Amino acid sequence: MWKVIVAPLAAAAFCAVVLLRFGGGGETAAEAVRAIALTEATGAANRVAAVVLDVRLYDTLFELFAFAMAVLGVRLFLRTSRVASAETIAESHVVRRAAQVLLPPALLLGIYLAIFGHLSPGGGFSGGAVAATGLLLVTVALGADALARRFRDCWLERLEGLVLVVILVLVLLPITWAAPVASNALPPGRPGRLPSGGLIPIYSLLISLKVFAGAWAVIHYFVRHRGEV
Amino acid sequence: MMLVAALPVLHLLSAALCTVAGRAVRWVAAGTWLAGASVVAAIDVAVIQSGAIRVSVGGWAGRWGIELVADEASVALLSLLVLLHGCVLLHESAARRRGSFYALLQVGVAAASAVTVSNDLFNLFVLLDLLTLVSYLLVGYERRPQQLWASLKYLLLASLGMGLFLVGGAVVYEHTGSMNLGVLREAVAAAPDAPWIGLAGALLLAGAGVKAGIFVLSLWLPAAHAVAPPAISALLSGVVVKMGSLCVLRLASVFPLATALTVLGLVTGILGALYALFEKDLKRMLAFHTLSQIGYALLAFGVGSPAAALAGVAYLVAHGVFKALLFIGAGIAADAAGSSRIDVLRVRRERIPLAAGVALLVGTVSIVGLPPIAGFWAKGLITATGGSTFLHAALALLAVGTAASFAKLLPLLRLGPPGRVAAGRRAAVGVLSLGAVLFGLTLPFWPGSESLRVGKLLADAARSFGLAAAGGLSFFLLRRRSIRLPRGAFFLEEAVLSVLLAFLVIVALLGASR
Amino acid sequence: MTPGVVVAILLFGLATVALVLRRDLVFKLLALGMINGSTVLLLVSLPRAHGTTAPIGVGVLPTTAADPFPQAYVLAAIVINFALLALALVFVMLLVERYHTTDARRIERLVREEEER
Repeated sequence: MWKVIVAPLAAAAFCAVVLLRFGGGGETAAEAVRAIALTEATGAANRVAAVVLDVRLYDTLFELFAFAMAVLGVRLFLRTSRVASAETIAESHVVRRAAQVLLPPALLLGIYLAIFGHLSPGGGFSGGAVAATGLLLVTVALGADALARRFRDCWLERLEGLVLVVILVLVLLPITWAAPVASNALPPGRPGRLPSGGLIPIYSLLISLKVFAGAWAVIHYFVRHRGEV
Repeated sequence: MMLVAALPVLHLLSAALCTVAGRAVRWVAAGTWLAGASVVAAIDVAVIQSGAIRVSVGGWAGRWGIELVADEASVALLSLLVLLHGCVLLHESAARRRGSFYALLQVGVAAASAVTVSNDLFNLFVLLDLLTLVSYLLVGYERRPQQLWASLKYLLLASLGMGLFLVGGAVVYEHTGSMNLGVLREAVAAAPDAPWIGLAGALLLAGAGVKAGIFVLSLWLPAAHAVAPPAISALLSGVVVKMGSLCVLRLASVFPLATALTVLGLVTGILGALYALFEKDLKRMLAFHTLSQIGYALLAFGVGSPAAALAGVAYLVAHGVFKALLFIGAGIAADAAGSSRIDVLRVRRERIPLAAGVALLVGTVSIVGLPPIAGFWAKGLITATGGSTFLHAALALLAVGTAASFAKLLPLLRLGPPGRVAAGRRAAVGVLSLGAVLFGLTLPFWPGSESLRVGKLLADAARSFGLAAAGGLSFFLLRRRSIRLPRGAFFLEEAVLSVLLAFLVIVALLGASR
Repeated sequence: MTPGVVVAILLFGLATVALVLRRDLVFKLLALGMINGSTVLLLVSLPRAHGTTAPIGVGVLPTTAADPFPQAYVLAAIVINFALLALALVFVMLLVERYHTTDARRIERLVREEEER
């Protein structure tokens, strides 16, 4: 097979070209980043959050829609597809018990990450994902239908759509007024306090809701379609 | 002019509404189209009157935040987007699509309209990936296995391309501390011989090229565009591929890509036309011609002057209009005849309805470059903007190849019975045909088209007829030969390898032109 | 050039080899995940982004902290890659249900045969 020879050679040539010409290392972050006073301007002590939810909010918006498209696609293509038999769920008692015990802390941690995302590491995406991990555990241990009874699918779908609409309306104003989000719609506040960063914590919370609901849908459909474990 | 930033957000808003609108979804879509069209009209007027618009989203300086620039190229592609978006809505009005279809469509339009004005590499990365996701879902929407596989292949190759693009972005960030194209342009101008410039240019070009319809890079394209539903093929060939090409143009304004673009344009054009010549399936032939016509635009971008770049954009727009028309016509014809194979269509040509006949006729005249329809003027504009004798010879060769492969359709180009075609599909054909003709008739009066003179036009017309005749003749000579060109390159693994090898070639070309 | 950059580029190359040579579709998706992971590693380990502290906290000076911008880019890239992989998996599931194999070349051949019929 000629591919066995050509592929490693091409990849090696790729690595060599990139590594030889990469260069750089002349400048460090300090020199450039000093020019922009992120925390002062936005009120968010977490400068990564300030970048994600203020300086490059426009990117984050499209990124959120990439996530929304994933959820929409999973729902669209797996909803009517053949469903694996429900009898594949045969986890031991310990696993089922542990899943139930771990769910509340996971949800709590998710909410914490979302609310404190502008002060410490965290934010909407990670918060939503952590909370959804708790759900994943329960879904795998107890079966998809146990939770599906609690979360009605159509209700969640509406919630996701509405969260998106709210975020977009909140975003439309600062973007069209050509002013930084935080210092425009709400005062930035004193960095380090919980109510600071203007709209940033609110965005975090909304995004975490969206990610939680979306991840739930993805998990639900994938678990329902798994075969023998 | 914050409308530039508000336009994509508006479409995203409507996409979110589409998922919750229930039965009212078609009204939401139509309303958004109207709102979007008026915003685009406002942007058009502002750009034509007072030149490019620059916007820093959220007021953050472009070096850090995201800068949007609406110039002539963005305006041209935005207008094309509005036209095709409207035609897809018309075309699908009879199909009773669900809310998710419209949501996908709106997100695609939002991402495409954001690409046209983006001046930031990372923003482009996000938007191109979002476009990939949307087209992936739309190509596979009807779940036929061919569609699923073509779509999956597209996703794998596009992700690889975007991986290369992001590595290129990382190189740029390391050396300039910004993802902004303006900052990058200054850095390249300050030290044009730095080794990282060739590397970043090659990585970014190879990455964007996967989405731009360049032959050796976009080997997923023929399968995906041929099996997608007709309206989606029209949208993909008409707009989505153009967004990749626009990225290539933006990169060409920063990096010294002239040699690489000329070589890639030539390869794309010739191989695309060659594969189209021996293709037996109508939709697949049209897909190959998307490649060959992108080759035209790349050759124009390779000239390097702003006028030539604009001529290339004009050709992209013209191609968007008539390729959408051809795909929609092919869809109607295939529905009526029960197959999209050209030999079957020929036998059953009595059944091809009027709408399909008109679409194929106008589209063919346009793509072959006969006056007075869009293709003729746009091709004339490219040749008018200079370039070497070599370029003119290459363009003439491409024109002959295009005419030769479209000569196969001659028996189909007839105005048949009205047939039973949904009103929306007829309306889409009407709007696009009118668009192609009007675009052709008004192009000479557009700003920047002063190079088109009457005497030259007559010569152009004579030449395009000559080239078309040469194409027809070569088809006649070749018609008995059935040549099977190698298909292996279009397999997934070979296509991945082709992207890697093409990247290495581009690096070498960039090194040579320095 | 930091070790992270070297590892990231080598991983990218390795993943493309896997993308070509592993016949199993699921492995191809894993290779894609590796490509995405390597770009993430590359962005956060750029020499320019290097700092002695995290860019988080009120008292942290911008002069010593790491550059927050690549970290923000990485967040976006991770979410997008998640979306790409999730959707790719959906189509792989549908194709496997249809053809009862995960062998990419076999699926490609079967699809082509069906198309030509």
